[in-house]
Amino acid sequence: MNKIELGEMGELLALEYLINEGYTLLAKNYRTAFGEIDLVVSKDETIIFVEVRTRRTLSFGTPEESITRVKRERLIRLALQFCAHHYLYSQNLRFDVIAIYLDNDKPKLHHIPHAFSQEV
Amino acid sequence: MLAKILSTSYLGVEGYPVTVEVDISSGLPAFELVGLPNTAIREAKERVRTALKNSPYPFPPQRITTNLAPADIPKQGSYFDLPIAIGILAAQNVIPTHSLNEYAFVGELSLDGNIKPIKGALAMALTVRDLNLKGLILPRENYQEVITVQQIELIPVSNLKEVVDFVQTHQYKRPDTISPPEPAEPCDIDLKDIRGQHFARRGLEIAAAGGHNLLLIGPPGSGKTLLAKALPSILPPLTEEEALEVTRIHSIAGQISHHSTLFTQPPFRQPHHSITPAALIGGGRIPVPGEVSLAHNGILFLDEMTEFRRNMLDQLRQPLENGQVIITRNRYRLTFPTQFILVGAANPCKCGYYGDPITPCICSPKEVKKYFQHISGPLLDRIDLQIQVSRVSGKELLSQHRSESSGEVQNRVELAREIQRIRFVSERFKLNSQISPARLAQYCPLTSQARQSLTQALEQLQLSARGYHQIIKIARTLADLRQSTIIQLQDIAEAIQYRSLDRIYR
Repeated sequence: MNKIELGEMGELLALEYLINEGYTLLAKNYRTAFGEIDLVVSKDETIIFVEVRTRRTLSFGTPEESITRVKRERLIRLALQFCAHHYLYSQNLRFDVIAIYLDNDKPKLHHIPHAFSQEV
Repeated sequence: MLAKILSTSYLGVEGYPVTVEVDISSGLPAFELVGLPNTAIREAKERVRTALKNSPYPFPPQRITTNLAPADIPKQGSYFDLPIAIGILAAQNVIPTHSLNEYAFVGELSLDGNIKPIKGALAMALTVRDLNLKGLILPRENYQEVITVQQIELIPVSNLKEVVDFVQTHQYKRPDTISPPEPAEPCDIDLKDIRGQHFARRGLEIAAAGGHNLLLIGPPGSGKTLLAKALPSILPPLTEEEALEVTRIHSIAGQISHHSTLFTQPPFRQPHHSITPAALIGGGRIPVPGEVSLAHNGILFLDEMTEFRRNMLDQLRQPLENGQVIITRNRYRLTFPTQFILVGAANPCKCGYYGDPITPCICSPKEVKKYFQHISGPLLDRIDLQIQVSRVSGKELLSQHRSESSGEVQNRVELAREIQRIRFVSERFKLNSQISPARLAQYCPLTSQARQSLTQALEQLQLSARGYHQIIKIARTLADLRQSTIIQLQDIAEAIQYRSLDRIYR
């Protein structure tokens, strides 16, 4: 299983989890010139942008740790672009992180709602 | 949804109201804070977020904009944490908002939602009183400090939950027992323990009675420091108004224990000679009171006065003359009160033994002359009582003769102060040392004999105009101590001898 396959598998696991939790899928792998948002879902009139991180080993840190400031800023830009693109104004926006750790092929999933916000 | 929470802050020693406006709207999640906050306030964001989460109350993943109005005054301190947190809850309709505008909130949050003590609680409580608000919600540790402000409801709280409970139910846990105010630090030096030194004791009494500045000059070990430290024991206790002024300044400077209420005894400040100008006079980007203001209504004692840097001492001239310091920053001018009695102690020369009958002085005449030039003429001119303290002889030290106790002297001082209080009832000043030159003739009638000898002294001693005025003021205090309305020859004669430095070093 290479890195791309691993990522896709993680995203599918995350999507399955979110749908079970009552979220509605708006977009998957929303891609623009700046980059990509893994999942865009909605629930309770809030649009949630989800970044999925999948890891097989913890030797390079936990999946949650791997979201840097640059990555956060990029996600915020992408989210604003997504909203502009779909004419979504004055909506509640939220950024979630789903961390998946594949331990002996048994995935452990950790959902962090409202993982970060815009730094002012 | 918008919520407005009242709070207060202070600039200098004056409090002013602050409205904390919190708006929550949809959009990119963010927490913005405007209204010229300093770093401590800007960091409130993280404390508020975490304290709310741990209390646990909701922190909305929405766009939160907080404004501290008036927006043009720079603000500092951590006491806006609580109003911001309450504002966030009110803007989410977690708590009812109808009674919020009757109370002001101040307090620092810790990450677990507990509320920590703040500086300047008394100034804030007085502001709330002047604004005619119903009450102040403040940290429990600050309760004792403000307990004397009785016109408003004081609600001590120790965590966020208690605040929310109060806003919802208007019930709060009253402090179970109001612990009696800690007795003021007993002045552990009593005049009865000081042998001999009759001249210096008299000087202390005059300084205390009329609020005159005092310089004690004597060889090492002669008891200058001890005498100066005995001065608080003969000063009358503070009046309620003075106590409020003093406590307010100390509260803003954060120099107050959270167990005591108002200051009842005059403050005694003894800065070391390595002090910086900002610490002495007051200062900082947002100015805080310095030692001269902390000594307001009390004593500023400069031990080893000649060791202070000359420019440092010269900065005392304005506070001594005007009874206040004005600190100007580009946005505002702040006035700090500085009505204190200056007490200095110094050796007479570099080796310390000039004029001592036993140990010979090894300084050259030039060195002796130079020594007091460290204290500039204008400052020395403002010190009315210059007293030589000689060494106590062995006979005096061992004698069983009981000296007068501080209590007895304090009684006389209080009588003299009472005379002054009645005399100056319609004036802005309170003590003889503060009489303005224009009022001198009105309040200090001299007998013709006294006037004659004063004129003579003026010529012989080549006194400055201020020196002349000061002799009259001291004579006024001497007459008050005798409970006489007219200043007589003996008062003038005694007053003249307290300006001894001119005689010795010229």
